Amino acid sequence: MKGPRTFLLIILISLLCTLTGCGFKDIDKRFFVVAMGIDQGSKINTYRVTLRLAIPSSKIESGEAKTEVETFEAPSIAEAVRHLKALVDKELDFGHCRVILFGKPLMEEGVDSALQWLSRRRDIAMVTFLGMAEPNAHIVLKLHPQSERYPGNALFLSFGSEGTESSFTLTEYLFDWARRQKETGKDAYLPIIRRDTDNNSYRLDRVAFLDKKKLRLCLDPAETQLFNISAKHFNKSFMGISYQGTRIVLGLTQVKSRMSISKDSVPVVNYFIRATGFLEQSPRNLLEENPSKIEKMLETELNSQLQDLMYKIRNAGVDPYGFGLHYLAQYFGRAKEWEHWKQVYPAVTFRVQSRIVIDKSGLIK
Amino acid sequence: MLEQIKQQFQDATDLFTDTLDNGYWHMEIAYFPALCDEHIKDGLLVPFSYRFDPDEFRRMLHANPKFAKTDKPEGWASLLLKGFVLIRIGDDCYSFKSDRTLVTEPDTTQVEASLEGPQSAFTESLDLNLYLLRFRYNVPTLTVEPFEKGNFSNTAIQVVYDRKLVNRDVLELLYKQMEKVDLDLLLSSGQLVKSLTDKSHRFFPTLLQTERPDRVASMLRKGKIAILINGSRLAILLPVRLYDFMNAMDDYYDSFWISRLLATMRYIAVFLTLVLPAAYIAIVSYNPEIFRVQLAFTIDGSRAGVPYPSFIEVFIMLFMIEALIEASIRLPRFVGSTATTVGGLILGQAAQQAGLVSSIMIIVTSVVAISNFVIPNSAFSQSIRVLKYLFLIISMIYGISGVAVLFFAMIVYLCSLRSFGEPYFAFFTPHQRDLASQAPGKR
Amino acid sequence: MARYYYYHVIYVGMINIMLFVPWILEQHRFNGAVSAMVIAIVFGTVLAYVTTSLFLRFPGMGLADILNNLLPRGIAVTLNLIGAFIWLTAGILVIYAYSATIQQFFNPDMNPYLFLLLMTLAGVWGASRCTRTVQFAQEILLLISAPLIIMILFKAIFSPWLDWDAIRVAAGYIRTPPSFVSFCAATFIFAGYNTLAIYNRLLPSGTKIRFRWITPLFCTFFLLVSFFIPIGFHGTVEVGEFLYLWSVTADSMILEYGFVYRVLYLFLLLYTALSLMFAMNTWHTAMEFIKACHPKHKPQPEQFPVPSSNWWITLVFAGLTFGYAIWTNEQRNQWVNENWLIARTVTDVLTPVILGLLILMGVRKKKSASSVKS
Repeated sequence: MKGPRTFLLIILISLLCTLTGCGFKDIDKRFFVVAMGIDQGSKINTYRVTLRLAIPSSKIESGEAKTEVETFEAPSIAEAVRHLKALVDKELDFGHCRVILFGKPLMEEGVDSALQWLSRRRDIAMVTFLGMAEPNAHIVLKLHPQSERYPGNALFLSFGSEGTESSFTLTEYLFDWARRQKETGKDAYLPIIRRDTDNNSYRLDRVAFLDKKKLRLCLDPAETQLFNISAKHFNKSFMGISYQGTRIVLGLTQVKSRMSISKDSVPVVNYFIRATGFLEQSPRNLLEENPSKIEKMLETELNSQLQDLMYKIRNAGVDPYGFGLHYLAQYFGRAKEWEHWKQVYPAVTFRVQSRIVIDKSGLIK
Repeated sequence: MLEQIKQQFQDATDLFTDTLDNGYWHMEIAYFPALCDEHIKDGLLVPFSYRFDPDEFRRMLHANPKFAKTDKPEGWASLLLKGFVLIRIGDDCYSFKSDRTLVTEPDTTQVEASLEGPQSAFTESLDLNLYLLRFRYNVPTLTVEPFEKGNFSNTAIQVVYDRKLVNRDVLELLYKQMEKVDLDLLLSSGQLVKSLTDKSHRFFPTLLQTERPDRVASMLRKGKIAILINGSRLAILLPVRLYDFMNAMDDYYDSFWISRLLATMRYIAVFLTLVLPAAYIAIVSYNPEIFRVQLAFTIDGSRAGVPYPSFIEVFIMLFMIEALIEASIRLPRFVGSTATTVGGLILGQAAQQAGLVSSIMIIVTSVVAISNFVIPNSAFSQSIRVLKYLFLIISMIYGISGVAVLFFAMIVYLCSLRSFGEPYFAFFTPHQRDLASQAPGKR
Repeated sequence: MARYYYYHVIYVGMINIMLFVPWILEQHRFNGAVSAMVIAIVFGTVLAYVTTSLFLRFPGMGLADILNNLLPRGIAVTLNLIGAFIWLTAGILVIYAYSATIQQFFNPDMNPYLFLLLMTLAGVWGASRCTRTVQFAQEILLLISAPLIIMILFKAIFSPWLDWDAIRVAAGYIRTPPSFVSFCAATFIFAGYNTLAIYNRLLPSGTKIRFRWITPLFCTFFLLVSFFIPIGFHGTVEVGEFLYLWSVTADSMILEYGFVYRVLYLFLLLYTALSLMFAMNTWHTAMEFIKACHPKHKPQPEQFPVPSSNWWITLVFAGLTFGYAIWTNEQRNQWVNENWLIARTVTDVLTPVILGLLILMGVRKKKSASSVKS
């Protein structure tokens, strides 16, 4: 009785030993892709894929992180990635790829096939940060910032909200981008990433708007912040105006907005925004004089700026705010309403009504 | 009588047999001097010899509870072996209880130490153990039933329970199992536990061994049954549930929130010691993307110099730590601490610096070892120790999803266990008269 | 003891993701899913209430025992086999779907049958235990995993990336006539009460199931969440393109302060427990139905050790799972899923009808008996 049982056990164990190996690959045999760049190739209909690979080290110090940048051109992204495997000594692992950058020239052409590849890969997280690199992804990825503590961390932190939280930086995830690429009445946006002039850090203070096909509009930093406040309700932002020769800066702590679109033949978008904040910089004793006057001034300023921005966006033929979707949602619209909206969108008018509340004046009066 | 006894103990030279004559009566006497204590002098020899009074002596034989009439020759041998003195006066045979008890004081707790609870523990003497128990569980309904097991050791066993609270079905099941017990030598409670356990129950202990009388008392109050064994300083408790193994006596004495916190911590520790090495393999070799980026790069960096796959690394470290634990149990106490220092500090540090194992692995190993010691019951902690390797193997083949599946299987297994008909692992079932009474097959 | 009933209700409400219920609903999101859901909520609630009340009239008896006792043998065996088939298929579908998901997201390089082997073995191991063990394991696993799953669901609901406009647009399609398939899919979420078919054996007589409003409350919540949250995360258009809809939805969230960064992995690990629980339950029920076909069968909810017949029957189930995995592909699997959901709805309606008829017959018999006496 005991003999056969032991025998069986031995066979089973040896079988088990052969089983390990499918998918078994130690962490030190893997090359982690921390960032990926997709550019237009030198020939027509080719892509240039740049991968930033992490070289881990046991020391974790600022500036010690090492990375390797590999690049390859091929007719499709999938082929380029497959070919890149031949250029490195370890298995490529996209599991920690947290940033994907598209080159600006590529965006001007359109990126439909790129999206296809990204959504199909199971190991690329839907929460990967997306950005548009200027002048192209390869140049941005080659940068090696001083403050980087582990490979790619400067890039992750600049995009996400774990590290710096700047009102100029918009965050865009892959899933959000993919949905905006398809959604009726809502268009995609991408933060623009550039090298800083001192070549030591990244610069993310602009945003690009795309329609379903390609790049349509880029905003300057001030407009980007305005978009971030109004569309994304970004809390830690500021706005400033000149007042009697000095500058007043209001730090925002809470932003709420709401829109309502009238059902006229040419709809009117009423945009209500309410912002609460405190004075970061102002002349002394300003609030004692007449706080409501300052609030009024800020309100009119915001109204006009925001209206200008919205008209600019409308004229570019994009809809990153999702006015169209909101129109459909408000009236439970379907295909017919959508057709109507598409026709009248270039002519819609915007009315912004803002309300600004100063609830603290900082530590001093 | 003497002839018969001599026939049975042919070569037992340590048996003392004699025929005493005090001038009035003849008394045949037989006993093992090694098994009997001084009471034989005051209780028997003095009244028989120079203070002899026939009436008083006869009265003593009848009235003193230590004397009992034993007319059946077949019981003599076992009585002698238990430390009784056999005497024969005229035609009547009597036994005199004069067994030697070496232990007169309760032990101090050694395995189940408690910070604030009582420090006394069971001893190897059955009588003293009963005293410790009666002293704590002081009601008339406490029932003690004697048994004897072991063909060669004839060990005395006592089954103790509260008559009012006990579940009769469990008791019947216990008796049934006890009948099946067939041992040559019953030397320790562990043997009895083994032979009372079903074949299919071998992974986790379904009987609780404890050295603490206060634990036994509190369990008796819950209607459980205790088994005391002569010569063993551990009592057996049944039926038990998983929580009883995870419960330290201090939980009864500490304040509510502290004991809850500690209990939760223990369960987390069990989870860690089971899953952590397996998770290490799975993360390192299958799915490094599960954890945060920083963690992946840290592990990657520290593993850079390790020449073999992750599971070999884990096995090396676990072997080292198991060897260390084993060594420090066996070694005398002074050397034990040296071994731990050498093994834990020096070897670990050196192994990491030599690039044989990663520094994360050292942390994993120590967490595993320490978490294992958190479990209050040693039998349970052993089974967790073994089970950990099962998780290791499955994670070698399937990665983290295999660990999750095995965890499911383990919970099902725990739920399928029954400790004498009562569920072993289930939430909020009433403590008593629950299952054994409902199970149709068990009635 | 009635609490066990709610464990079934809750986990069946959560397992729908693995049976492609949200996928089917999203396919019909513009032609009748929302209206079908509304009908399903009412229908499911009523059915749950009626069926449980009927089962409580037969204390300590499973559906199989009731049929065996009160119906002619031929009919009872047929009905039992139909029941076994429906339950068995449910387990097979979930095991197949889950191992396919795991293969996608955890071990893409692994042989798909290898993981299927592990899952079926775990399913066999769980299902072949006795009924009471299954119930205990159920409770513990659910209490471990459900809080975390509900946490993920709430995290999704309160996520700033959830697009409420898209949800509102999708909800606007309530005006379309309901589609039958999505109605069947949506009623599945309410189907937890069906497990009484076996577990009624464990309910002692005189049990009252209180707090029955839990059923519509939780199930409606799960239904709305599993339909609308993916729309909120992927928009009204793109949502129809994902096959592993909820895995992708879970992947759209992050745990900023957890050990695990991507919610997806936490989600998948939790659903391991849930899928195996479902497989354990359904196979166990199917096994009990098959055992009840034996003429000398006596229901024994508490058995230790389990008889070898348990092992053999569940091993056959495992074999069938492998057969199914070999035969099927994505299209076939979806076809089977849809048809299973429809078949399940039919049997779901049949059960209370049969029970009601039996009770009526019983009452009449008693009446005629009493009238004869008087």
